[in-house]
Amino acid sequence: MRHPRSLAVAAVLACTATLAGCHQSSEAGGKAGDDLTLAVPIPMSSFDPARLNTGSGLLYWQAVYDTLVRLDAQRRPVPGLATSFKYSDHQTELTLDLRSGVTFSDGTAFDAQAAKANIDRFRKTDGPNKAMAASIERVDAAGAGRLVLHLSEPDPALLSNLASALGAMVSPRALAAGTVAQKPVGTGPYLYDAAGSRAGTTSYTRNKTFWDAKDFPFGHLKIVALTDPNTILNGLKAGQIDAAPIRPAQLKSLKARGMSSATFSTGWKGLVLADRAGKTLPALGKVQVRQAINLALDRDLFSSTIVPGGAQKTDQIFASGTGAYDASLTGMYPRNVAKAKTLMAQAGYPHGFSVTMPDLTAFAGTPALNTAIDQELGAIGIKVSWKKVPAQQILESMQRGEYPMFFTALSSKTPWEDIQASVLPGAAWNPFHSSDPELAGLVRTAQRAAPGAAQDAAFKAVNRWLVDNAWYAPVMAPLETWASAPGLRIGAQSQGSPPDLVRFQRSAR
Amino acid sequence: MTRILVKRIGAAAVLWAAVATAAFFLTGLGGSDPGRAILGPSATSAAVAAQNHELGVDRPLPAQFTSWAGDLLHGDLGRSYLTGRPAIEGLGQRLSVTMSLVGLSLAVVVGLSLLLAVLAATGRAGIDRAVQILSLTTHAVPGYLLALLLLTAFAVELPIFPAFGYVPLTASPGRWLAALALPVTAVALGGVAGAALQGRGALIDVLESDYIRTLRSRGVPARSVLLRHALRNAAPPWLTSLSLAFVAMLGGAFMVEKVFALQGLGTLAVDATVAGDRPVIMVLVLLTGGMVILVNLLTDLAQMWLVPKARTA
Repeated sequence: MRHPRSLAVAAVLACTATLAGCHQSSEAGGKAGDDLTLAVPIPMSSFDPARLNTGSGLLYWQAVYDTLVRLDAQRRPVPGLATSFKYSDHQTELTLDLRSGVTFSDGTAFDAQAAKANIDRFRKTDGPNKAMAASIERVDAAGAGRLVLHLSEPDPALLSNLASALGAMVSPRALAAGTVAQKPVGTGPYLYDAAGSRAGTTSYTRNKTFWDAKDFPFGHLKIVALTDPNTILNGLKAGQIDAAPIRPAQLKSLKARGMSSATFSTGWKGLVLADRAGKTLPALGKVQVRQAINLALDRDLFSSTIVPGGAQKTDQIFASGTGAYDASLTGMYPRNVAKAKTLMAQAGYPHGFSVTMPDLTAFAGTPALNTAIDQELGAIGIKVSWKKVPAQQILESMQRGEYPMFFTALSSKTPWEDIQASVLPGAAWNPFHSSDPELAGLVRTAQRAAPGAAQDAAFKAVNRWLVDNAWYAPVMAPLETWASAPGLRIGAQSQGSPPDLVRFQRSAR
Repeated sequence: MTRILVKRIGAAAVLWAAVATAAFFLTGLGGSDPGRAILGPSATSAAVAAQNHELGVDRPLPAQFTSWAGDLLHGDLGRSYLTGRPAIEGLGQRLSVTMSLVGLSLAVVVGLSLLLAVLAATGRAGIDRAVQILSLTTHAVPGYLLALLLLTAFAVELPIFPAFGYVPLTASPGRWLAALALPVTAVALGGVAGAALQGRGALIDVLESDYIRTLRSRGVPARSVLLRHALRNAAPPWLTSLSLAFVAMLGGAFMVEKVFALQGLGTLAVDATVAGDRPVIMVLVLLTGGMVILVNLLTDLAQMWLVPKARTA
């Protein structure tokens, strides 16, 4: 009876060796090879430009669609499918000269008519991106190579929107067929590989007719949806992933394996002091109280202890690297409890006040955030009661004006998009519809200024007003850390994560 | 026999409907906000309210349930709030991942638990004790923790198996097996432990019974006594523990799917729940609830087939 047992052991060993061989042969390649595998936190949802995910899902569609305009590493608009673009004197007409000789992957030529068909459809299609085209009144195709966008009012975010979902060009034939959500047909660097894709894994092969192949050096691209930090870490260590966002604490063990890292700014976290007219909490109507709150917060504690290694302290809502960011505003509100108390007394609140805020422990993953806010605001007499709100109702309750002030995390985009999202009286993150004539004037000037230095200066003026008047109490700008395998380099980008697909480049091992 | 069968199937159908109804109302209690999930955090409250109105989720829950149940009876499972595509779309791919994991795990549990039960019940005291210790140890380690340990050992430190992901059987049988080796181990071990102990106990009881002694005294060969008589009569408790193990494995598979980033039903359930995508959640409830009920029904039927006594119960 010994013989069969030996055979069984041999069979098990042979199976294991075969399986191991299968696995290793499938994973061979890496950056010495031609494959690039990236991990992002969400699965692919739709290739329809009206429904594209322009946040964490950016890379899925950047692989297949080229955009009319691109953003460079400093997030300035540069030519894409449009070789040049120019505003009229009043910033209400944008003329784009289009690249010639470009074809979609189904063989259709890219021209002004195709671009017009895309933008016209985008304007009429409901979806999360529809607001990107809100300022466009009419689209004209002037010959085959020129597109003119007529605007109802100046739109400083238009060029960056043309570098995003609004500018993603799809074959008019695919648009007409109504299949674009699942079968993308673009002019981008890669072709969607439906056969090689499955739930959680989206595969692409090189588009051999792409006009700018040198910037996209990999033959095959695979994007996998991974949310668990340990799975990502293991995938990087095992060589199954080439680059992914990681937790700062994981960096040490990855660096020991020769991996590199890069950080990208994503937005800001802090308090929205929303009831600036004091409708439900009269104290917040006093600018001194709002300034005192800013002075009471210990930004060093938040950025070094609560999000260690993953945040920079800030006191403005605009991201560094954008035209509105003003380095001279940093440090405007250093922690100074004595001065904060004086301001509270001047405002008529020497003993502070009570306020109810939504509890974010579930989001933060730790009660440390609540404790820190309790202690710091408590030092100037502000007593916070935390209200438990179901996770799915939390944003809605904040935006409905249920809380005069609340802690939140907001993503930063271009200055004008941030103003549209948080500052204008009808903005989603201006729940009490706060307004001020001086601020409105500054915003109007910025909206109508010529793009470039003049507009940047105008945005900085808006930023300074918001910081001076303490509409918010931002504490930190979180940074997302990306790790990349040896042989792969992720280029710098002043703002936004994930970084654009073009930032992933080969490097010397 | 037919009457019992009809009664069991009828009870299973009622249970299935009750589970689906309860799940529908429970998903309504969380205060889901699909409009916000679709339009994103920058959308205004008015836009979110309009979107929710369009989806019909601003109506009272009983009214929503009536529409959903009516559509279901017409074979319409609804459309995902998030993608706007049929809720059932892509389910086949997800199901094949979870079923590969649970099916293989069940095969491992059946084979190993039977082997261990027989060895423990018929072998020497040393073997029996070893099987018991092994069973209790594996039973005590949670599948999630085991998955992490296996992953670190055999995918990261010793890169024998992939650290995550799934390869369809049709694409490459070898890579399919390699991708599932660690997850199946993590899911199955707990089940093996439970079923082996149940089988062992039942088999020892049967082997000590009078009719087995009679069979032995009449010179029936030991192998025949074990395989034709003892195992058949020891099967009911073992089968029951297998059906319980299947349900536990389905739950365990959802956790292990997360560790190995297998895009199965568990991952879909988590994503749909977080986004408040009720049509997808309900499809999953109907499917997984149906599977659990079906497995229990099949276990009952198998017991009736194996042990005539059960047919009168």
